[in-house]
Amino acid sequence: MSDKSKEEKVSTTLFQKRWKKFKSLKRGYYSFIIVVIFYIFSFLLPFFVGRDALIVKYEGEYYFPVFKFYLAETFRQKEVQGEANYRMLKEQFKQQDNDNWVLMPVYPYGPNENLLDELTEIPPTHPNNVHFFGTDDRGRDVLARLLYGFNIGISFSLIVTILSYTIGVSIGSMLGFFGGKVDIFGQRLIEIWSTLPFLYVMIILSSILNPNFLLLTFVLTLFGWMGMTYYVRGEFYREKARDYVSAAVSMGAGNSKIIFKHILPNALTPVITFLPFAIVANIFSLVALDYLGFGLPPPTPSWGQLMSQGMQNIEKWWLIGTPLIAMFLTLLSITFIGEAIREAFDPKVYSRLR
Amino acid sequence: MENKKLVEVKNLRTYFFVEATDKQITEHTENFDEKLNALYAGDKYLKGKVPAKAVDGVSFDIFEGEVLGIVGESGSGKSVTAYSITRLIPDPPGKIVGGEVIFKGKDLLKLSFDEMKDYRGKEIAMIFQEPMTSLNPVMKIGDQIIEVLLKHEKISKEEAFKKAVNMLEQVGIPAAEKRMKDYPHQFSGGMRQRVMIAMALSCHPALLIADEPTTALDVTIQAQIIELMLRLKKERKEAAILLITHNLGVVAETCDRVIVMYGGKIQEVADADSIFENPLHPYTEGLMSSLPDPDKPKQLLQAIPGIIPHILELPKGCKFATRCTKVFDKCWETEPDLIEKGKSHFVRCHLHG
Amino acid sequence: MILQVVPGGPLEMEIMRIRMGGAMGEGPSSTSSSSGISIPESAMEEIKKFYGFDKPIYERYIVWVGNLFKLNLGKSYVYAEPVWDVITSRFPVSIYFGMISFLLTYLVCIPLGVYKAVKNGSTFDIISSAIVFIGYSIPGFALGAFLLVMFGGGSFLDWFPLGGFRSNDYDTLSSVDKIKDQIHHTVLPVISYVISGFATLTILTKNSVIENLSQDYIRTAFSKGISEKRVIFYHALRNSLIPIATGLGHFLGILVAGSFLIETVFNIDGIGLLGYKSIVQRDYPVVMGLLVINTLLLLVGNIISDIIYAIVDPRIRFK
Repeated sequence: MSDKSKEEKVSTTLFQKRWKKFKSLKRGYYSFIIVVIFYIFSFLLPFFVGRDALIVKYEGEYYFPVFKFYLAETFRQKEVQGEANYRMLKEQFKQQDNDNWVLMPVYPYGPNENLLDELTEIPPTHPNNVHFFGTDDRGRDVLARLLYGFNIGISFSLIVTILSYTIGVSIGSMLGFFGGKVDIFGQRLIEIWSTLPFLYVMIILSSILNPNFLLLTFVLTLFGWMGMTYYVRGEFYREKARDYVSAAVSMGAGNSKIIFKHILPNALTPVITFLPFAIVANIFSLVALDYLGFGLPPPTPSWGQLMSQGMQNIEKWWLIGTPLIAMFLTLLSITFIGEAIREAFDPKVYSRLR
Repeated sequence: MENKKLVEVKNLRTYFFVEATDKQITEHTENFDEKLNALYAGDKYLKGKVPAKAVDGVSFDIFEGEVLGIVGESGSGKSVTAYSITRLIPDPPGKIVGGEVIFKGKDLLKLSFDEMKDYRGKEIAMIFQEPMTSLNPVMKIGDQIIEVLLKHEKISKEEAFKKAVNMLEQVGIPAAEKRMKDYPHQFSGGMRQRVMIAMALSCHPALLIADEPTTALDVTIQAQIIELMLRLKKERKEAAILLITHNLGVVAETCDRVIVMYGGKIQEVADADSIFENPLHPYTEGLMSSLPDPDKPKQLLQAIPGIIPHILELPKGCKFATRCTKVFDKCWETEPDLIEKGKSHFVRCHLHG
Repeated sequence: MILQVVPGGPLEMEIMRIRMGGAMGEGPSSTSSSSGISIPESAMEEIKKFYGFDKPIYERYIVWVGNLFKLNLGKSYVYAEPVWDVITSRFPVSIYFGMISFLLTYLVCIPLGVYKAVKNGSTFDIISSAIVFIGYSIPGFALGAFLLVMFGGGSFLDWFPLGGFRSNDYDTLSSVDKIKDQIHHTVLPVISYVISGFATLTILTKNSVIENLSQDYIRTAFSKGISEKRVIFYHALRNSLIPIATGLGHFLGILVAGSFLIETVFNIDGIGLLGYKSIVQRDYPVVMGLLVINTLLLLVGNIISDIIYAIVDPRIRFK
C-alpha cells in the first residue's frame, strides 16, 4: 500500500514538473489556453451566435427558443412558415411597442440559415457591418459558419485522434509485448494496410456511401491508427528489455499488470507528444475532404466547403480568405501547443562543445 | 625525475549548470561571486539552474616525461578536469568559469575555441573511454587517421596514407593497409581503441590525455592498451601522459605521480609509491583497502561506506565528511586546505592539519 | 529489408480489388440516380454488359489480375483510350512539379536546418522556426486557393495565371516565351507543394544535426584539432543525413504520384487531377490503374529509400 502511494507521488511530481515546464513555454501555453477557451466557448455558441432568440416575452409569458422549437404561429407570425423568425419578431415587437420583447444572441445569424429574403444583393455578398465576413453563395452568414465549423472540425478531429490512438496504442502494445510471430505477422499486415492511398480510398468510399459524421470518423480512424503502432511497439521493445520489467516478472506479476502498470506509462511519451500533430493532421484531412466535396454532408458548416465555394467564385475573396485564416490560426495554435508539449515531455539538451 | 613543467593548472573551476528545486536554488545561489553573477546576468539559459561544482578550484602541474594519474570514483570530477584542459566541455550544461591552464607559457583558457585547434591533436591528444562511439561511424578508419595528419603536418596525402598505415601497424592491427578502408563497425572494441591510440599518437603530442582508456575493454586487452600508450614515451622522452582512471591496479603499474580527487577537489597528491605505501587521506586509504592484497588472500575487501552524495548536496566542510570513518566536528564546519606533508606529498584533511 | 516490403505488393492489391469489386457493382446504378435520368431496364442491362458488370465480382477480378500482368489495365470509360496511355500521358506533368518541389525542399531545408542547428537558440533560429511552423499550419491546397484569389486575377492582383500547366497557345510561343510561360505557371503551385513540407524537413535536419553534435565521435574530431566548420559540415552532417536520406525515396514516390488537392486547385492535368476526375466521373478502370500505379510508386520509393540508406550508412549492407 505504501509502495503504491509512493509511486503515485513520483508520477505526479513528474507530471507536475512537465506541466511546469510546459507553462514556462509561453508560446505553447498561451496557445493552449486560447484553444481550450475557444473550444469550450464553441459549445455555447447558440447563446452568442445563432438565429434563435435567447428569451422571448410574449403576452406575459416567457419562451426560450434556444432550447425549444416554436412554430411561427406561437407568436402569430403570419408571414413565416415553420419555425419562428426571431429577428423579424424583434422588429415587429419594437414597432408594436408593447410589453413584448425578444432577446437575441449577440450575433443573430445561424450557420445554416438561408438569408436570401433579407439580402439586397445576390449572394455571396461582401462583408459589411451586418454580416462581418459576408455571406456565402446560398446567402448564409460566413462568420456563423466559420464559428460552428470550428466546433465541428475540432470535435471531429479529437474523436478521430482519440479513437485511432486507442487502436494504435493497443495494437502497438500487443506487437511490442508479445513480439515474435505475432509481431512479424502484425507488422506485415500494417505495412500492407498503410500502403493503401488513404485519400483515394476515402474519396471512393465517400462517393459510394453517403458520408456522415460517423462514417467519416470511422474511415479516418481506420486509416489513422497505423502510425502510432510503430512508436508504441518500439517503446515496448525498449522498455521490455529494462531491468524493472524483469524485476516485475520475477516477482510474479501477470501480463496485464506488466503491460498496464509498468510498461504503458513509460511508453506513453511519444503518444502524448504526437497528439497535437495528429489533431492537426485530422483537421487537415477533414478540410481536404470537405473541399473536394466528399466530407460532411451539406448543410454542415465546414471550412473546406467554404473554400470550395471560394474556388468557384474566385473574385469573392472572403469565401476563401476567412476560412484560410481561421484554419491557419487554429492549426498554428495547435502546432505551437504540440511544440511545447514535445519540449516539456521529451526535453533535449542541445549541448555543444565550444 | 624532477623536470620542467609542461602544464600548469591553476585554480581550475568547471561548473555544470543544472536544473534544481527552489530550495536548492536559494541554497546554492546566495554566495555567488562577481563572476558568477555576471555569467547569470548574461545568459538566459542559466535561469532556474544552479552551478554543480564538478571541478572546484583544482591546481596541479604536469611535468615533462611523467605519467600522472588522476583517480577517484565516478562523479569525482576527474574526467571534467581532463576535458577542461583541452576545453572540450559540453555547453550547455558545462562551463569553465575560472582558473588558468598554462601550456608552454600560454593560458589555454584565454584562447578562442578556434585557436585551440592548433593545440588539440598536435600538442595535446586524447583517448576516450568509449571506443564504440568515439569513432565516426560513417568514415573509413584510414580517413580518420589521415585527417589528423593532414591537419597538423605539412605532408601530401600519399605520405599521410603511408604514415597512417605505419601507425596502425605500430598499434598491432594486422593487414593494416587493407583495414584502412574499413569502417569502425567492422572492428572490435579493443581494435577500435588501438585505432584511437594510433590516431592520438600520430602527431607525437607533448601530452596525451587518456580518459579511462581501458574501462570499456576486456580485462585481457587492458594491459596491451596501456602498453601501447606508454609507447609514446619511448619515441618522445619529454612527452607526458595524464591517465584518468578508477582502476588502482593500472595506476600502480604505470603512474609516476597520482592525484586523488573527490567531490570536485583534489584530496591528495603524491608520488605513486608513497601513495600506495603511505596513504594519508581517509578516502585514499579507503580506496587502497578496496584493492585485493596478494599477501593476504583470505582478507575481506573493505568498501568505502555509503555512496558519493549528489553533487548539490555535498557537505559544507570536508567533501568526504559524509562517508569518512574518522570524521569529527571540525570536518563538518570548515574545509581543510591542501597542505604539504612530506616531500611533494599533499593532503587535504584535518587529521593532518 | 526489401524482401519485407515486397510481399505487401500482391496482397494489398487484392484488398483494394475486393473493395473495388464492390464499388464497381454499385457504380452504374448510382450514376444513373445521380444524373437523374431514368434509364430503361433493358438499356441498363446493355450498359452492364458493355462494361462487364454482368459477370460476378470474382470473375471480373480474375480477368483483371490476368490483364494486369500483361500491363493491360483496361480501357477508360471516359476517354475511350487504354488506361495505361491515359495515365502515362499525365505523368510528365506530375513529375515536373514533383521534382521541382522535391529539389526545392531539399535544397532549402537541409542548409537551413544545419544553420539553425549551429545557431541553436539564436534570434535567427527562433524566427525561422516560427516561420516554418506557420508554413506547417497552412494546408498547401488551401494556400494555393488563396494565392489564386490574391494573385491569380481573382479579386486583387493579376500576376499569375489561373492555373493550368501551360498557356493554351504555348506551342505558338517563341522559346524564350515558352520558358517564361512555364515559369509563370509553375510559381504558385510549387509554393503550395512545398509549404508544409518545409517545416518537417527543416526541423528534422536541425534535430538530427544537433543530436549528432553531442555525440562522442564529434568530441573525438574536436580533440584531433579539426576546425569547427569541418566538424559540423563533414563529420556531423554526414551522419545527420542518414535519417534524411532514408525518407527521400518515400517522399519522391509521393511527389511523383502527384497531389490530388493541389492539382485540383490549380487545374493541372496531372495524375492527381486525373484521379479526382476519374472518381467523380466513375471511370473505374482509370481509378484502378491509378491505385496500382500509386502502390507501385510507393513500393519503388521504399526500395529507393533502402538503397540510399545502404549507400549513406556503411553499417547497412544488403545480404
